[in-house]
Amino acid sequence: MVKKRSAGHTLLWKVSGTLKYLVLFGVSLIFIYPFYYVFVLATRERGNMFKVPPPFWFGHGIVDNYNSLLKNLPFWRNMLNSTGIAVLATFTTVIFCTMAGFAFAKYKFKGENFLFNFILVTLAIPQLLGIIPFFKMMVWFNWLNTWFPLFIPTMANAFGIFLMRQYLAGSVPLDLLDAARIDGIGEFKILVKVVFPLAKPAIAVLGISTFIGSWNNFFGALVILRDKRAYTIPVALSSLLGIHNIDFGAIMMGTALSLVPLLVIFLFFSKQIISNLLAGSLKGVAR
Amino acid sequence: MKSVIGLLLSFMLLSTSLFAGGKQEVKKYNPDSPVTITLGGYGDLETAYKAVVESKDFKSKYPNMKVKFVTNDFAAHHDRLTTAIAAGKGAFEVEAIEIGYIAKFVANGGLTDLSGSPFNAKDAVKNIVKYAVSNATTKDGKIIAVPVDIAPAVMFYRKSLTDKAGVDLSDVKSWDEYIKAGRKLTVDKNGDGKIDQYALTSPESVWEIPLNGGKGGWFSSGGNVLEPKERFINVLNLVKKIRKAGIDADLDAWSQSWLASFKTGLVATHFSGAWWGGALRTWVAPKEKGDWRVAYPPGKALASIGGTYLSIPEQISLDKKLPAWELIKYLTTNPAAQLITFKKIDAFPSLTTIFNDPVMDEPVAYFGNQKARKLFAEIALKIPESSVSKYDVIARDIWITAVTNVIIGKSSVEAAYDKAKKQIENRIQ
Repeated sequence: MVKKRSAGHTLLWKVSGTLKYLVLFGVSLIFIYPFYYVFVLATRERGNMFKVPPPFWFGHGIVDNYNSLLKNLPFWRNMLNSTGIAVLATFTTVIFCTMAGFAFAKYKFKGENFLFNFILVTLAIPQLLGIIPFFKMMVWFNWLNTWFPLFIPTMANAFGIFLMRQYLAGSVPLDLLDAARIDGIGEFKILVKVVFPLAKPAIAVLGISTFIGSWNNFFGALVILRDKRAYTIPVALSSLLGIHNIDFGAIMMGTALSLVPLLVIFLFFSKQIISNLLAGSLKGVAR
Repeated sequence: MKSVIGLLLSFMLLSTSLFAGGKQEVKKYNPDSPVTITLGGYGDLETAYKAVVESKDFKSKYPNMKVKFVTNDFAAHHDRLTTAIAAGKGAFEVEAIEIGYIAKFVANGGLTDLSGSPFNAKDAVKNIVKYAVSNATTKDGKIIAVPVDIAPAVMFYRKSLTDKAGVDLSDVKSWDEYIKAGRKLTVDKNGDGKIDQYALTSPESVWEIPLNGGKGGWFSSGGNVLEPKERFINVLNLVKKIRKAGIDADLDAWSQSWLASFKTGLVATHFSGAWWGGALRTWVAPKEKGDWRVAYPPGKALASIGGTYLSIPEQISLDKKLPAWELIKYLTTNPAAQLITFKKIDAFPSLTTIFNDPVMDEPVAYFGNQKARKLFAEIALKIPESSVSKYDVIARDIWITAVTNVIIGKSSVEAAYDKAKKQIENRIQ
């Protein structure tokens, strides 16, 4: 029997609900504001940008800033470079890390633990420490000013392998794999037809982190890419930072435009993560 | 048969060594040979140098030299260069270096010594501002880079605000006099109980002036750290006094409010290199044209804050080093090239022969028709020479922490000095 709420309780419930939403709204504003501010600055004239208090509404400099951006940078070429590298990095990382994670999660082989622990240990080594050997290798391969160094060395990375291994170990039942084998499906086909569909939430997490990581990769792109047409967005925009003369209008316009693909990817993948996680919880995936 | 093979091998070795020997003797740039030189730079240097290499004069002198530019922002450029030098590969033929990074490259090597043959930079730099050359010269006389622009430090001040406060900053005799004037400049203009005009942004913008911009001078001639002590104690006392006087707005450099303070009138003075005039004029405070002025820093303190050098990494092959050196020589010692750079990006010339050019006597509208360039040149010629040491970067970093601790009241002057001295000594042991 459901107890009826008193008028006082209902009011309290409503007030606490409203308060809860107000707090959530306030917190979300803290996260949304920097993005909004970038878009506001992208539309303001350079001489009208830095004010106290900061400007909160859009200005009239959108066309000038856009023209200035295109005058100083091959911006859309830079966007293509960033998008191409990020897509290739995401695609290859997902494929290779899932393969490696699946092998560690479901196969028994000699040295399995040692190999897995060895991969994990590499997570503790700061990336910057390896930059000089990495750079030397890329020079040796003659890969300077190409896209290869920006996705091939990280295709099978420790974080991705660990993530996929942990997820697949708990989410793909051995019985299901055995059933597939009894049906005569080969190991590679099992990976493609059984493992990949079941790993969608982890793939979404890995995909989104790889895409954003690749898109924001500044130092790697800085040392590898050697001319304006080859630059990715972060390197291209940073090249606009002068000393005597800084065109903040162009920089803000470029930053605002470069946020768009990231937002789209985030919205797409976050939907995937949430829907698949929920699906998993309702179906009660077997272990 | 063996003797025939032996004879053949000897002949091959002889001819190879002769050929190699002959090749080494060719240490001259060949203007008829097509060559592409890439210049790695930062900020807006590309804008200026592009105009130089597209000039008729450059094209007539170097018809077969093509110059490409790779530009990154200030910090990123130096990070890329450091990586390439550490890796021993991947640097460009000519690399620009900001003065703040020169000591690092003096310490770690990787740049060509330009003082020797075939470059003979000592002849090329004879008309370049002496202090700037000394900053890129190692203690044993190696010239590792050539100054292309310099930044003599001046005091920028707003005439309308100083007039209103009844102070004259055109010739401030001492820092005490500056602080006294600063008290008059720090006012509550609208009477709401809040100060809305300060003398300067922060004491942190001052410490470099009495220490020659932090270029060299961290060690005494005997190799002792932060000596003579009095020189450094005076600086810490100065920043403490400024904070205690309440005349600074306590703004973080390059923050939004810091940038805005130069146009809103929140601050009346600022200490920086000559290049700051270009930043004020073009984007920081363009509408304040005619109100800003420049003067010697208090007590006619001499310092440089900023400046660009051009270098050739050691890893570059000799056949590329020779045209690279020609390009460096042109950009640093050709009066027309120096003037183009100055006009394009306000980078003050390092070549003293153009300090008498009529352009230096021209009144500058932004500075209320003051002959500001003449003042920059006058200061540049007086800045004392000092060679940098390989420990300068360490000393400077630790010193900045000491200055900050004194400003925020975390350390007393003596304690901050002692701690900094000990830390530097420990690091360089």
